[in-house]
Order: sequence, then C-alpha cells, then structure tokens
Amino acid sequence: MRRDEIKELSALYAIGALDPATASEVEQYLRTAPADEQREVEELKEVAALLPLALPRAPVPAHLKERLLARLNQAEAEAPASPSSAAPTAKVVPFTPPARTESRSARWLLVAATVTLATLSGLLLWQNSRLTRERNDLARQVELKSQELAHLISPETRVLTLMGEAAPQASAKLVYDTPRQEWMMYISDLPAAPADKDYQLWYITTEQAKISAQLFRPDAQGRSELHLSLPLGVASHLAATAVTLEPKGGSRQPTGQIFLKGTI
Amino acid sequence: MKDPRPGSNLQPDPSDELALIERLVARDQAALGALYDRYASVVYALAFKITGNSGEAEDVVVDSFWQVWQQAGRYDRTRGPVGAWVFTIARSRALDRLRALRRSPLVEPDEQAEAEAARRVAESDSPEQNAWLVEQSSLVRGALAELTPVQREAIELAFYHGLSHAEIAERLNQPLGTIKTRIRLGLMRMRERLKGQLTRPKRGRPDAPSVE
Repeated sequence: MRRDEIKELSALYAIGALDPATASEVEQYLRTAPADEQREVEELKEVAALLPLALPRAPVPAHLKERLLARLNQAEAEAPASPSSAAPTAKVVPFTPPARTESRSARWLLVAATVTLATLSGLLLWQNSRLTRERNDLARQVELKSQELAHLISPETRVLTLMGEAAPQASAKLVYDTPRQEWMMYISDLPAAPADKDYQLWYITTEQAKISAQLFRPDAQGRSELHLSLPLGVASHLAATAVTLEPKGGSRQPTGQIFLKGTI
Repeated sequence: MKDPRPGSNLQPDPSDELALIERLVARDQAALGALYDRYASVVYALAFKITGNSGEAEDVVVDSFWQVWQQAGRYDRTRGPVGAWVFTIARSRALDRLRALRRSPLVEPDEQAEAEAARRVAESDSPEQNAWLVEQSSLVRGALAELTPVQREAIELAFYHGLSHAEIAERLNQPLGTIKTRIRLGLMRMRERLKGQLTRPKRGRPDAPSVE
C-alpha cells in the first residue's frame, strides 16, 4: 500500500473500522510516521473513544459495584502472598514475655475484652456498610421502578399483548415507548428451554425482514423480563415481534417453532 | 507511534485522574470504586448500546473495570484521558460479547430513525450527579449533532457495531471511498469542534472518590 493511501486510512484506524491486517499495516506505518501524523491519529482516537459520552444514560444497577468488589476480593484472596506480607516469617523475633505484676487471669480478662471489643466493632462496621449498600440498592430499585412506571403512564407508551402459539398458556406484555425506541417485555408461562436451546426474540419489519433482538432463557416459573433498546432504523418500520425456540446461541433467521407472537 | 510506557508516566499531576491510576497500580480498591462511580454510567450505556441486552451489559461493566484494575499500569496518559481509556476497554469487551452472541441486529438505518436517534441523544434525561461528566457529555453531543446524518451513521456503525468500513459500505450499499470519507470528515469535524474543550476532571470535584 502506498504511503498516501495509508494516511487516508488513519481515521478508520482511529475508530477501529479496519480489518486486522490493514490495521496492523497502518500501525506499522505510524511507528515511523512524522510526529504530526502520529498526533493526529492519537487525537482522532481520543475523539472516537469519547463517543459514548453522547449516549443517553440510565442508572447502573447497584449490585454491579458489589460484584466487581467481590471479584477483586476473591482474586486477592487467591493470589499468592506478596513479598511484603511474607516478610515477617523471614525475620522471626523471639517473644520474651515482659515481667508483669498483674495476675494471669486479669491479663486474660484484658485480652478477652480487647478481642470482644475488636470483634464487635468489626461486626458493627460490616453491618453498617452492608446496610448502606442495601439502602443504596433499594434506592436504585425504586428509581428503576419509578422509571418503568413513568414509561407505563406516558402518553407515548403503548402496550401490546403477545399470544402463545406453540405453548398456548404462554403470554407476554410488551410495553413500548416509540420516541425513545425502548421496549420492556414481560413474559410469563413460557416452558423451560431445553439445555441445547435458547429462546430468541425477533423484530419483524413491514418488509418481513426478521431481525434478531435478543436471546433469553426464562426462570423456573417461566418468566422473563427483557429490556431492549431498538437498533437504528428498525423502529419506524416494525410490523410484528415473535419469540421462537432456537439452537443454543441463536440463529441468524428463525428456524424453530413460534412460541409467542404479536402484531404492532 | 510511541510504545506504551507502563508506569513511567505516573508522576504526580494536578489532575486527580492520574492520582487515581497511581492508586490503582498500588492496589487501592477505593480508587477503583472512585473510578467506577465516575464512569460506570457511561460504560453501562455503551455496553447496552452495543449488546442491546441488560444482562450482557452488566457483565461487560464488571469485566471492563476488572480489566482496568489489572491493567492500570499500562495506562499511557499521552494517549488521552483516563475516561477514553476506560471506554476503549469497555467497547472491546462489549464487541467481544456481541460477536460471541452471534447476533446481527442490523438493518439499513433510515433518516427518520437517524433523526430520532439524534433527538434521543440530545434529550438524554437521566439525572446526572457528576457535573464534569454532564459538561463533557454535552460537548460531545453538540459535536456529534453537527455532523451530517450520513457521517453520524457511518461513525455509529463502525463504533457501536464494530463493522469495518468494507462491511459498512456493503450494508449501506455505498462505495468504499464514500464510507471512508464520511468517517474521516466526521471524526475530523468532531476533533475541530472539541479541540481544547475537553478537560480532565480535577481534584475536589463533587464526584470525589467514594470510599467503599
């Protein structure tokens, strides 16, 4: 590839829109490229990386931070002891009991009291942080639920019932907010999916194109709650939606039985 | 291009982001908590946009901050702010998930949907606690809104759907060169618009680290 051709590709490289082979060619070129060209790519990369700032934001589920910290703590517990924490075993200082005048039992009493106090304050601290987390969790849940409620009562919101086909007892309520292109689907009484299969939700357009929306597995009660953000360009010509049972991992086009269907 | 210089670029700096990175390198969990508080909402929105699935998006958030924790020493400040680095990691993780799901929920975008998407972006209404993030977000939204719809479309397909320019050209039924130009002009325009405006969060902001 010519030098000017590679230069042309730098913006595509910055946004990650090159196939791996071409990307590595551009990367190689940039290693020895003039400083201003390197800087330009770095700047374009930064602009591209900041694109997510433009996305509309929803509250992050509160339990996620706990999940992250639990993972950290687990990894830390499993990690081999660091050199600094191993150091004390290397330099063992013989313990010589100091001459004391108190009785043995008094000393034990003191030790016991200290241990109790330490345990108690540890417990309280733990409980306190647990309660704080629980409170934050609840606050988030209330926030999410009130958002859902706001959706439900918004004049823009429509509700659609999906009827069971392969399993007549199954049904679903679809709550959709057209301007926000957001869907909430509450599915009930869907039979359990076999281990080698998944349920797949489809958007069906007015041109009868079937677009995969999401894979899911209902819980033990046959329930599932899906929150979807409609892909670009789908909302304006949506005709129907359906759920089929597909091989695990989903299919590109529906192949299995239709379990739920609704016309929009 | 410069080589990443792990650890060499972490001298004290007025910006508290670098201090946070230093603390991450020193295995300070509270620093990760602070970084999480600052960026999790954006990472979650990004992951949701890419995977279209809240469960997957949650996994992406945890995986991304886990990677931030493990690779803090590789952060190179000459390559952009901490937020950009965190989002880049999150985008990769989310695209990995998307590919693993083998889904391609894409059709050719039309203009109406484009306009709708732009409007949605313009009136994002989630209450935001972090003043710095609000300000930066409105700058990026403003810059994005100045692009032509086709430039925005090409940029979004590349960034959020992980498509190469050849794939975008095929999907939109446009010549390769057209897509190349749209992305290039779009990104350059955004860069011009944002030049000198984007800042790093400073110490003493209201979003100061929360200690977990």
